[in-house]
Order: sequence, then structure tokens, then C-alpha cells
Amino acid sequence: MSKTWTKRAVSPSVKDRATVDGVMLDVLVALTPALCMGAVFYGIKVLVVTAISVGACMGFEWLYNKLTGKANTLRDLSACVTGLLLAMSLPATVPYWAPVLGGAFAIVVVKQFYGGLGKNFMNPALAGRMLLLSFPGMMTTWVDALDHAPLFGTVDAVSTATPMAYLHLGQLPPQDLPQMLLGQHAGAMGEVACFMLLLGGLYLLARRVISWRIPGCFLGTVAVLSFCFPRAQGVARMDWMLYNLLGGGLLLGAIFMATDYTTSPVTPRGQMLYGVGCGCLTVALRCFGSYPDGVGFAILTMNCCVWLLDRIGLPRRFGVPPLTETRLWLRRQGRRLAMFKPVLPQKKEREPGAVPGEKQLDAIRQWQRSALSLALVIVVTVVAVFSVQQGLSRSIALRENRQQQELLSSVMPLASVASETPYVTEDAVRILAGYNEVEQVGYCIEVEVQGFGGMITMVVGVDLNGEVTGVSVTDHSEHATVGGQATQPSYLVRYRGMSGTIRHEGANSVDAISGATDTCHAITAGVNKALYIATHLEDGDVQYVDGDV
Amino acid sequence: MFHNIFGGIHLDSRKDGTRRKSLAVMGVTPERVIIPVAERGDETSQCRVSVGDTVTEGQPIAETAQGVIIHASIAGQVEAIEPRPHPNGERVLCVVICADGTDARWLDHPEPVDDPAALDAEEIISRIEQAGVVGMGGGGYPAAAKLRAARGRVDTVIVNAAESEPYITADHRILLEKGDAILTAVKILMKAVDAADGAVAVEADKLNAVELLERKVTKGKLNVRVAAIPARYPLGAEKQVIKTVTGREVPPGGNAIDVNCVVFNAATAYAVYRAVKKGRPLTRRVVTVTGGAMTQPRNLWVPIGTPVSEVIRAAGGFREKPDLVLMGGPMMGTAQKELDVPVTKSTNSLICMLGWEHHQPAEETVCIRCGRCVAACPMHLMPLLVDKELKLGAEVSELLRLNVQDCIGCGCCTYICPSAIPLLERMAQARRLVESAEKGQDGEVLP
Repeated sequence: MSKTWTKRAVSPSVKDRATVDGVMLDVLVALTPALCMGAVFYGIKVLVVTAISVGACMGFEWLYNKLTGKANTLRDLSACVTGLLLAMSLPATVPYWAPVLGGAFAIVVVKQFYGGLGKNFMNPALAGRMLLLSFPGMMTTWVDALDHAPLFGTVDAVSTATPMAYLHLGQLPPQDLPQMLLGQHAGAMGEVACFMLLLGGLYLLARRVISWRIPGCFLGTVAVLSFCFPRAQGVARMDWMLYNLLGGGLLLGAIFMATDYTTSPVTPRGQMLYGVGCGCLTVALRCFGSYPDGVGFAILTMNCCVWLLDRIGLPRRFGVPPLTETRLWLRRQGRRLAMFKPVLPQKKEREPGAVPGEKQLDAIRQWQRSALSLALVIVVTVVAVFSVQQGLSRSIALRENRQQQELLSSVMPLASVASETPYVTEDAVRILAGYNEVEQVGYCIEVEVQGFGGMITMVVGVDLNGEVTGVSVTDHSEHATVGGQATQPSYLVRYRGMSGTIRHEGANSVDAISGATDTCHAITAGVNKALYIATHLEDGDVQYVDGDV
Repeated sequence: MFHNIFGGIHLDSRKDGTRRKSLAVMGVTPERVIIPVAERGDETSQCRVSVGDTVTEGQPIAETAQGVIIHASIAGQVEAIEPRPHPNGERVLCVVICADGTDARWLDHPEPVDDPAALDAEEIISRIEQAGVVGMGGGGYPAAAKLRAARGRVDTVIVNAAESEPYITADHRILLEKGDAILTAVKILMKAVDAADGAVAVEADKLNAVELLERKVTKGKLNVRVAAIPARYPLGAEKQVIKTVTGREVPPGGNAIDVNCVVFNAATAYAVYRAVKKGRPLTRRVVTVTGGAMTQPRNLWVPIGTPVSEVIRAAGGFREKPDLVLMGGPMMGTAQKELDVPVTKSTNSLICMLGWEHHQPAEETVCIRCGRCVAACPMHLMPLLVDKELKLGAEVSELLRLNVQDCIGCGCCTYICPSAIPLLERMAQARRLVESAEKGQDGEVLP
């Protein structure tokens, strides 16, 4: 019964069923419910964009392999996952070339140029999406849920703000929490359906495709940080936290993008650090960034740190107590520090014939060259910075002076210089004194009055006799053609020479422009206010503040 | 109570074929036994018989280079003393005995004793030495030498009955049917090494064995702990079983004695019981003969040296032509090319697999850095980085940083890898590189 087998004797003889394409298929399955919700909310265009994105990614992968003569890698389905993730992070309103461009960048540049599956250091789908963010108008045009995006042509509905935009401004979005969970609001096609994404995440956990470490640490960090530091006033911390967790691309990012095998750490400790890092960066970018959502940038940044995290997270060696390495390192550093012993200066016997201090001089000569060049660099830098600053402040002063001269010429032609006065009143913005070459000629009073369309800021020149020498409107929000006539010098010149209280009609009045009566009356009120202030400067209404004015 | 360990994998246990089948004696005595008297091809050993001699069952016939006494497992005539194929793939020196049909026994054995734990430690160890007991879980290390090294230096004796490999049920059946003997053996071993504690480690999915032992321990008021440990591979490995039972980790490069433990396999413990209590030598062992190709999967008492083909015939022969015959478990066992090889003292199973039972070799694809090998490695290693390092240039210093010499060869990484990378082979390759580099430096210790 002697038989011979030709089987190779390699242990183990049994094997887990998981394969690369099986894992990728699981990810595709887990993403499908969220995509379907997107199609329900934003219309059939979601599916078309997804198909184009997946097709583009697989097409570019095939093309690249063909052109470089590599084996076909389409069957591992990783390009398919990249395409789906890319599509799901885009708004439903994107033009059809956008996923093609993003897919080309993702597959060719980010993935294949670095050696293909398993070698790239950034998540291809996220990198493709970030490239498309160079077209901010395209990437921030959202349609509201159930406002289906049209298949062709541009979106005619007014673009809607996403919940993330509200959170970015420090307010809670108008949607309630169940709506947020369901995803019934404006947003990217696959990011909104939080409930479906969570469902997909549970599926991946149950299939052991991902571990809890990355999404758990990521979401946990975001939850803790947003609970501790709510940016909205008068909002329950819990609400702020939940909206932050459900808003934007956090769930898609934490469950599907941060857990991308190739671009996340393999060591358990490294994975936890990576998740925490992603969470901190996300909260920081949402708070301080100019773009509402920071999940994508956070993940890409942490992707670049994976090498380091894997090194830090190297598992403890079996049989070696925890922190042994650290303790040894500390001991080594301590020994290194102990090498630096304080050495007391010792008096040395002078060599016969040597001049005292010559050795020191030689040492100084050794480094004087470098010290001189260093000093030179410092001097040049200081001089350059100082002169630039001087030049800047001089040009600023000149500009202010010119503005003042223009103002004076229109409100007080006799004066050539204006200066601050120590008078302060609630009614006037500021009170300047105007001087000619010899003496004071009057006051320039800047006042604000309520006009027809908003506040009117004007400067009124009053001479020492209490007569108006000129009026100038410096800022207003009246209608450009109707009310604006009343702010032109042609009208304002009518006030010159007036004094006392100016009335709307009759004696001591100024004729209003028909159609701009309200604005004219407002300007008259402002002139009256200035006249009153000018004549009551010494009375109790106007305070005289000596000192720091 | 147990201490959890990191890593490991959940395997399909596939023990249903034999776990309810009691230990059976082979129906017919084999016509011929081939008893290996060495471990490796280049070893020499001292034979006490010559070709043509008549031997009886239990007669000492040789002493190996490690000092293990080999006994004849059947009565008959010495037919040849020559190198024959060994299950490990080499040709090693064997004594071939042709059965003469008698059941003559060697009588010059130590006297049986009633209370073996009353013997003194030296007596116990010498009885074990004379019976030729070695580690029967795969190690093959002489039990007496282990006990001598451990004597006075350990506080815990662990009997390892955690068969974490699929298919094998030999130790499980021994626990069920020889439970009293195992507990006595624990007492004997505790006495031999002067240890205070004893423990039997059983996987928690063998609840009948756990319960039986606990009942016996309670009834006999024994100072033995029955540790039900998680059913996860490779918790049956020595370092893992120590960690699980006592929470101590064997330091790198060390052995069980460094953490005050000594571990014996359940089959070894039974051999110790027989050697000390009854004075009988180790001439037969339990072998689980199973797999989809077997007509009657069984747990058999097999004389040492019986050719594999005879064992298979005793278990009813093949139902179908097997695709793979394994000696040992499917994770760490060795595939056998021919069926003339003998059953050795450390053969715990013969698994005759059909095509669907073992994995068909798949083409290796690129590593996708999924990290499953890191999560599965019970020795806290990073096989994927070792693989990468080997492909990048195999720097010995870098391999040392990855602690490749800690690998126990359990195969979890290869089992779990979705890219079908033979990580276990890579780890072995890296280990060889490190070892040869260390040798090349003339004993100079590397950082």
C-alpha cells in the first residue's frame, strides 16, 4: 500500500476563505444602501454619476495596465471601490466630466504611479475628490433633498446650504436629528444617509473586514471634542455633538475612507493613534478651516503619517514587560546626561614664553569669521525690515493726510490743517478742529443720521461764528440714482452759510430734491445736529476729555 | 479563570468525526514495526540489539543521542537496523522488528506502586527515564531531562490538553477516559519538580472533559486547577498555554522554566502515569486517524513504529483516495509523501484529507496591508513587514528589529492572509537569515 503523493508539503493545509476581491466586494455591498438613499434624495443622476465614476476608474486602471504591460488587476475590484467612494463624496450637481477627471487622478497618479494596490500612500478616492475641490463653485452647489438634480443642463434651483455650512458658522442647522440621521438635507451623494452608512459599517464589522479601532477612535474623538468645545451659543452640548457626528462626510470618512487598508496603519496601537489623529484634525479643520468640512483633509493628512504610526505602534514583544523599551531609552538618556559633568575651571601653568591670553585670541580668531558673517546677516535683515516698515508707515501717513486734505477742501475750504480735539459726545463720531496757517477757523464734525436706506455718515464744517462752511457725505446706503442725488456736492452746497436750526420749509430752510425728500431731510437733520454740537461745545452736553484722545 | 492573549485565529474544529469515539486498540498486531532510534538523519544512537535477535514487547533496544531509551513495541525478530524514511522527511536510523505472533513481554521493569506520589523525586524521574518518555505533543524533548532541569526551579506544573488544532481528539479522549490517571500524573510531576501548583489546561469547547476533571478534583480534594481556556488556535502552543493559564510570558529566547513553569502534553502525562505507577515503558500511543478519506475515523492505541499504512488499514482503510495525508494537525503538521513512514512517539494524528478539506494552492498576490497577520500573530510579530523587508533587501538589523526569531511557526499569518502570501515560509526564511548572520559573527552578540 505504498503510494506516493506529489503534493507540496506546505503547512498550514487549511486557509481562511477571505480573498482580496471578496473583501472589496464586501465594501461595495456595505456602500450600496447609502448610495440608494442618495438616489432617492437627489434623483437618478446619482446613479449615472456613480456609473461614470466607477467606469472611469476601472477604465483608467485597465488602460494603465495595458500601456505599461502589467497584469490586469481589474478583478481585485479595488478600482471599483475607488470609483464608488469618489462618486459618493461628490455633490449630485457635478458635471459628468468631474468624476472622470477625479478618477483619472485617483487611479493613475495616486494609485498606479506609486505601484498600484497596496503601495499608494494616500487614499485614491479622497485625493481625487480633493483635486476636484479646485473647482469650488462646482463642488459647493447643492440641491436640497428630494429636489432631484436634472440629468442634463445646470441646476436651476437655488443652491441650498448644507448642515455643515450652518455648523461652520456656529449655528445648529434647521433640520432635526431624525432628518439628519436619515440624510434628508443637501449634501454629497453618498455622505448624507448616515443611518445607511452606519448599517454598512456594522456589516463590515460583522464580516471582520474592518476592526472597530479606526472608526471607533475617529468618531469617539470627534464626539468628545465637539462635546467639550461647542461653538454655538445657547445650544445643548449633546445636540452640538450629535449634529457634528451626523453632519458632513464624517461617517463615510470614518467608516469607509479612513479604514482603507493600504493607507491606514496595520498595528493595533497605530490604528488607534490614527483614529484619534483623524478626529482631532477633523474638529480643528471644521473649527478653524475656511472650508466647512475637514474630514477629507484630516484623513489625507493622517495617511501621510501612517509610516510613523506603524513604527510607533510596533506591538510589544512577547515576553517583554510593557514599556521596557521606554524605560531602557530613559535610562540611556540618563546615562548620556550623566556624561556632562560640571567641570571646574582649573588654573593652568603658563607655558614659558607664551603671551597671556594668546590662546584665547587664537580661539576667537577661529570663529570670528563665522561670527562676523552672522552679525552681517543679522544687521542686513534688521535694516531691511526696519526700512520696509518705515516706508510702509510713511506711505500710510501720506495717504491719510491726502484724505484729510480732500475732506477739508470740501467742508472747510479756508482751513489747511485739521487736528483732533478733546471734545467727545455721543451724537458725533468725532470732532476735528480746522486751522489755516495762523489760527483756528472752525470745527469739522462727523455725525451719523438715519437715512432712507440706512445710516448716512457725513462731515459738516462749522466756522467759529456757527455757520456751515461745507457738507460732505462719506458713507451712505441710499438708492444710487434717487436718494443718491441728495448726497452729491451739487445739493450739499445749498447748506453753505446756513446757521441756527435749519427747517424743512419756510425761513432758514433748504429746498429738498423732489423724489429724495427723505434723504434730504435726513441730511438736514445731520447738519442741525452738527450745528448744535458746534455751538454747544463748551456746554454740559459735550464733554471735554483731556488727555488720551 | 484565564488570562487572555493577543492574536490567534478561530478555526473550524472538524472534530466531530472522532470526538465521541472511545480509545480503541488496533484490531490486528502489525506484521512489522519500524522504530526510529534517532530524531534526525545525522544522529547516531547506541543499539542494544542486532539483526536476527528475538525481542519481546517492552525490551529496551536502543538509546538515542539525547539519552532516551527506545523499547520494542511488539515481540518478534529484529529484521534490519538501517536508515528508513521518517515522517519529518529525512531518512533516520530505524530498528525494524518482524512480529512472530507471540505476545511475549519483557519482565525486567520496575515494580508497580500503589501510591506513586509517595516515591521520592529522584525515583520518579529515573522511572520516567527508564520508560523512555518524551514530549508527545510534537516537541519530542526527553521528559526526564526536562524534569531534572526544572526541579526546584518551578512552582507550576501544567498539563496541556488544549488541542487547538482541528481534527485531533487524542488528548480529549485521554482526558475523558483516563482522567484519574492524568490527575495522578499531575501529582507525580508536581512531586518530581517540587512544585506547589498544578493545572490542567483544557479548551472550553470540551466541556465534558472540563466537567469530569473538575468533579474528580473536587471529590479527591486535589490541589489541581482545571483551566478552561478559550477555544482558539494556537492556545495549545507552550508559550501561549503558559500565558493563558498563569499570565506569565516566556521571555524571548527563553523557555518555560524561566517563568517557573513546566508544561507536559496530556499524552505525555499519561505515559508518565504508566511509567511511574505501573513501571511500563512507552511502547504505544493514541493516534487520531481521521479525515474525509477515512472509512472509520477513530482514536487508536498504536504501537510505536507501526507503518502509517497499517494504521489506516486498522481504521477501515480509505473510503476515497485521499488528496493529502498529514501527520499532525492541519496547521503545523507535515504532509506525508509515502505511507511507509512509522508512527513516532510524537505522532498525535493521521489526517487523510480529501480535496475539498484542504486549501488548493492559490497564486500569491500583492499585500494590501490589511493588517490581519498582525492581528492574528500570537507572538506580537508583524509578518507583512518581514515579507516587505525580505523583498526590499533583507537587512538583518531590520529583521532583528522585527523580532523574527520569536516566530513559533503556528501558521496563523498564512492562514489569514487574503492575498495568499506564504508568510510562514517568509518568516522561516527570515529566521534562517538571522541565525546564519549570528553564526557568521562568531558568537558576537548583535544589538
